[in-house]
Amino acid sequence: MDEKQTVKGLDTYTPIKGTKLAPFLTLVLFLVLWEVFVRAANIHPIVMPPPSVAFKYIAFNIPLLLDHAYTTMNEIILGFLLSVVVGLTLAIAMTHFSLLNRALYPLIVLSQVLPKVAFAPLLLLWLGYGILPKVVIAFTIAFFPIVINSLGGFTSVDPEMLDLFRVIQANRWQTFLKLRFKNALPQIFDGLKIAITLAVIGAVVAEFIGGDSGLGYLIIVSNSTLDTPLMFAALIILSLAGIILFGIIMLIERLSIPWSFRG
Amino acid sequence: MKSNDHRKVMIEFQALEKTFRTSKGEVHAIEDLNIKIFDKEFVSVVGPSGCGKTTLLKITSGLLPRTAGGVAVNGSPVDGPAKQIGMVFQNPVLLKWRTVLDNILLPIEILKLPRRSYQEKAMELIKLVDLIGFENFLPSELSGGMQQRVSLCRALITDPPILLMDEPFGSLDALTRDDMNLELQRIWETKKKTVLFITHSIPEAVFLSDRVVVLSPRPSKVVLTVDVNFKRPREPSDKYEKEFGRLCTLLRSAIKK
Repeated sequence: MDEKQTVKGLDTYTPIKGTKLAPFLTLVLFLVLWEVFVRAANIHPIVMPPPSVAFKYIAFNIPLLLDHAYTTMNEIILGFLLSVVVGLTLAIAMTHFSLLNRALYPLIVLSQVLPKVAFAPLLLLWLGYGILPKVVIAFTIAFFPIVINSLGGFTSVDPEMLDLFRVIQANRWQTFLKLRFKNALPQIFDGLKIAITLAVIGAVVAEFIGGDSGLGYLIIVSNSTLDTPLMFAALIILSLAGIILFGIIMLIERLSIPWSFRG
Repeated sequence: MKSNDHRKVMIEFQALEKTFRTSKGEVHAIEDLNIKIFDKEFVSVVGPSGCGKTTLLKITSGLLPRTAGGVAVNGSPVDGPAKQIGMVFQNPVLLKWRTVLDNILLPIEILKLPRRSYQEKAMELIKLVDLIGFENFLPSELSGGMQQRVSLCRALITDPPILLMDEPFGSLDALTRDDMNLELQRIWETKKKTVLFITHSIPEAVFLSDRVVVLSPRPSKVVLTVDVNFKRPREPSDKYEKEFGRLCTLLRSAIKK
C-alpha cells in the first residue's frame, strides 16, 4: 500500500533522521553516567558495581545466567499466554452477557488490588515448588489489563456501525468477529504490552518467594551473599528479556493492525 | 396526494406512532403519520431538527420498533431488518481496516453469498460512482465525498429494491454536495430504486425528488406533500428556475421551528 499515491496526503509525515538511534543513545549515556559516577565517588562494587564490572561478570558467566534466564522466560511466557487465553475469553463472555459482566467485574478488580505477594506463599503451599505456582502468579497479575482493555475495545463501538451490521443482518458472532474484535485490536495490543511487563514482575516475585532457579532466584541468592555484581548481571539479563518480549509484541502489533499506524 | 393508486406501493406508513420512554418521561416522536411511497419513486422527507426524521427511517429499516400503527415494506409488515432494504447512513461508517472493495463486499460476506460472483458487480458499482482505481484504497485515504460514495455502493451491492438514505450528504461541503446530488440522480436513473431520502436541505430535496414530504415538529406528522414535476434528468441550472424557487419557498414556509 505504501507506494500508492494517497488522496489526502496524510502520509507525508517522515521521521526526523536519527530518531531510531535515540533510545540507544540514551541507554549508552545512562551507562556512561553510571560508570563515571561509581568510579568518581569511589563506591565499593558490593554497594554498587559499575556497569563495566557487571558486563564483565555476564561475559564470564553466560551459561549460568542463560540457564536461569531460560527458567524465568518459560514462566513469563506460559503465564502470559495463559493470561491472554483467559483474559480474552472472559472479555468476550462479558461483552455478550451483561449479567456476567456485572457479576465478574468487581471480582476481577478485587483480584488485581489484592497484593499477590501476600498470596504467593499460599500458592506455593498448594501448587508446590515447581514452575506451576510461578506461572499462576505471573498469570494473575498479567490478565487484568488484558480483560479491561479488551472489554473496553469490544464495547466501545460506534453505534452507527452497530446499526449498519444490524441492517445487513449480521448475527452476533459475525458482528463480533468482523466489527468488535477488529475495532478492539489496538486496545487489546495496548493491554498485551502492559501484561507482558507484569508477567515479568509476576514470575520474578514468585521466584523470590519460593524458587530454586531463575533470575529472580539468582537475585535473592546474590543479595544474601552480597554478590552484588551477580545481582546486577541478573537484573541486566532480566531487563533485556523484558525488552525483547515487549518488542516481539510491538512487532506483532505492527504486522497485524497496519491500518492503525497510518494517517 | 395524487391518485397514483395503480402503481405498486413499496413503503407504507399507516397511523404510525412512536413514543420513546426516557428517564424524564415519555417523548412523542411520531404521531398519526401517513405516507405511501410508490415503486421506483424518489421521496424526500424534510422537517425541523429533532422532528423524528431519522426515527422514521430507523423504523422503516427495522432498527427501531414502532409504538403503534403500521409500517409495511413491499407489502409485508416490518418486524426487523430485511434483505430488500439498503441503507446509507449520515456518516459513511466504513470499516477502516478494509479496502474500498472489501467494504462494498461486506454485506455479501455477512449473507454468506459467493464473493467471487459479486466481485464483478462491486467493480461495476465502483465504476458507476466514478471510483475506478481506488478499489484497494483504505477509507482513510479517501475524501468525505468518496467515502460516502463507497457506502452507497455497499448499500447497492445486494441490489435491494428500496434505498433508505439518512442525510447522507449532510457532512459534505456545498460543492461536493451538489456533485453528489447529480451523481445520486444518475445512479437512481440507472438503478431505478424506491428511495426514501432524509435531508435538512430543501433545494436538495426538490432537486432529487418526485415528491417532498414536510414533517411537523415533534410529534411528527405530515403537514405538506409537494409533487416536483421538473423533467428528468435535472440540471444544476434548474435550481435557478422560477418554479424551483417557488417550490422551495412553499416548502420553507411549511417548516415550522
